[in-house]
Amino acid sequence: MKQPDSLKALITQLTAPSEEATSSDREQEEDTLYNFGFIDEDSKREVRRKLLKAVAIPGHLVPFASRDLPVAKGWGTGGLQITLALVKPDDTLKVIDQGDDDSVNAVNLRRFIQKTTNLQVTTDTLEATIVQTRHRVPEEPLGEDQILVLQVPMADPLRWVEPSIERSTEMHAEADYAPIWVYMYESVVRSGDVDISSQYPVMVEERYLMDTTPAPRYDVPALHMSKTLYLYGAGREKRIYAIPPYSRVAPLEFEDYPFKTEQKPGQACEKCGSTATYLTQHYIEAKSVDGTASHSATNGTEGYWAFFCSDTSYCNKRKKVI
Amino acid sequence: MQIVWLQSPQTKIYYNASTFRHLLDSLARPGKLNQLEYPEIPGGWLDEAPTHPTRENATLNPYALGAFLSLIDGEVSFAIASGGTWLQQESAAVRWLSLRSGASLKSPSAVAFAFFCEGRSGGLLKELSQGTLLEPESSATAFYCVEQLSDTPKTGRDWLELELSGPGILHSRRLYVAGMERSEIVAINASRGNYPLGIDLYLIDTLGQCVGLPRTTKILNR
Ligand SMILES: [Zn+2]
Repeated sequence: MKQPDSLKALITQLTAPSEEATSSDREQEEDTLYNFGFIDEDSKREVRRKLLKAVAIPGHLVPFASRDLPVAKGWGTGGLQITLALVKPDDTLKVIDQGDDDSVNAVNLRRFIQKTTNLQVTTDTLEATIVQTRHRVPEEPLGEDQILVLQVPMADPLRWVEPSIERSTEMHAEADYAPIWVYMYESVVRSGDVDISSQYPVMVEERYLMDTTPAPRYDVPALHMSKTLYLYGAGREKRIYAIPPYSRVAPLEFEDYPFKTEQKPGQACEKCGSTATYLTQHYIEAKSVDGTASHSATNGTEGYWAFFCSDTSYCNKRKKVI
Repeated sequence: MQIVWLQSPQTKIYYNASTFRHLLDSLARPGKLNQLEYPEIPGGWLDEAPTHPTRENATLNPYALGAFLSLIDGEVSFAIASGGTWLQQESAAVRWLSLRSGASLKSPSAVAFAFFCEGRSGGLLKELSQGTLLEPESSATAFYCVEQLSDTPKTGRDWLELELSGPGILHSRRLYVAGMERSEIVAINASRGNYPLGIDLYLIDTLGQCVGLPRTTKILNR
């Protein structure tokens, strides 16, 4: 998928004047075309009210108005609206996409938030007060003074068994989760594993079934009795949900088929050597003798699959220590 | 830095953002004391704040008023009670809140936000909505103005000692409250026996310390 043009245009528009400007920061702030945090105060207030209810009812999907932003839906508008409703001028923000601070999507979202708030930004997980993320929970344990905001593409875990949103809302209301248990058990019997791999369903505080976003199973245990507040935003589906700190989060599992993560023993990151992080596979192109990449290695090394930490900031930190 | 903000037109935006973070943290960590900012802004949206509706020569808690105002607008309705009675449209406090927020006064069972000018509702808490199974988020959020909150032991007959547990609390947490009646704790517990239904609460003291008690918090009166 390509970066949407509207976002590109906005980024250009936002970036250009500040590069030319010679005036002080103060004057720049007064010249800002946008409200602090871009969206208007009424919209922020609506998101804030819904966030409070989401925290009060852990794991429950709370509908919200989900405004249009100059970012195409599917590019993190749910998470972005939460972040913009949260931020105050003294925050330090980190944005990651699949664990990576430098991916195009993460860079654009970070730049957008920074340009409309003048916030401090960082790639260091430990320095951030707010981390907005897609698909990953950072490797370094988050603390009580931090908030994790997750972008959610599809919020309702019952979609696996119930296509009608009205009916699935009733099922959540009645805690009628038998169909999802049957679905999961059938897939275990059929294929020896649960079909749902990267957005594993969990029970929150023994009441609500919740989707863990397309985060890997590896990240699921981090949600249980966490020190940190987790906020989830689904822009397209217009839903907000939350896991407060110190809440019980249990993955669905069976006595004869317990929950397990996808990590395989013996795998290590090729950059930092870590065996205790979530690793993703990358194809390393073959190198020919003259140093250029090539698919057919005639005289150089052959191309191969390598494992790297998905959390690039943590991997870089480890490399520095080594 | 602080002074610059106070003189800039962004002041109220920053106040709302910072207050929201305290309210969010309070609800995410029930029983934790969060210090709210004093909502004093030149040009003055807290100017001419109403006096206490039922206590002579007393002010209404400005921290609680400011926090309450930061959440309401034309999209929601509110109710306010003092001395165990709901205030009517013509009361100064109602007019002041409506004018500054755009929110309208409605009957207590229909409102999203309720404000108790003291640490007691006088039995009015049970009139607020606890939400429905389909929409538990449609329940009311209520603010109580209490005298004082403490997380360190306080003794004396003015103080309630509460033991809190539930999501947001590692094991259990002690909270000491002055200016709240014992019977109110009974009323609060009665309003949250049917989870996921329930009313979410804030207690705010005269110094601006704020505590959140979401419906998930179990409250034991020691
Ligand atoms: Zn690594």
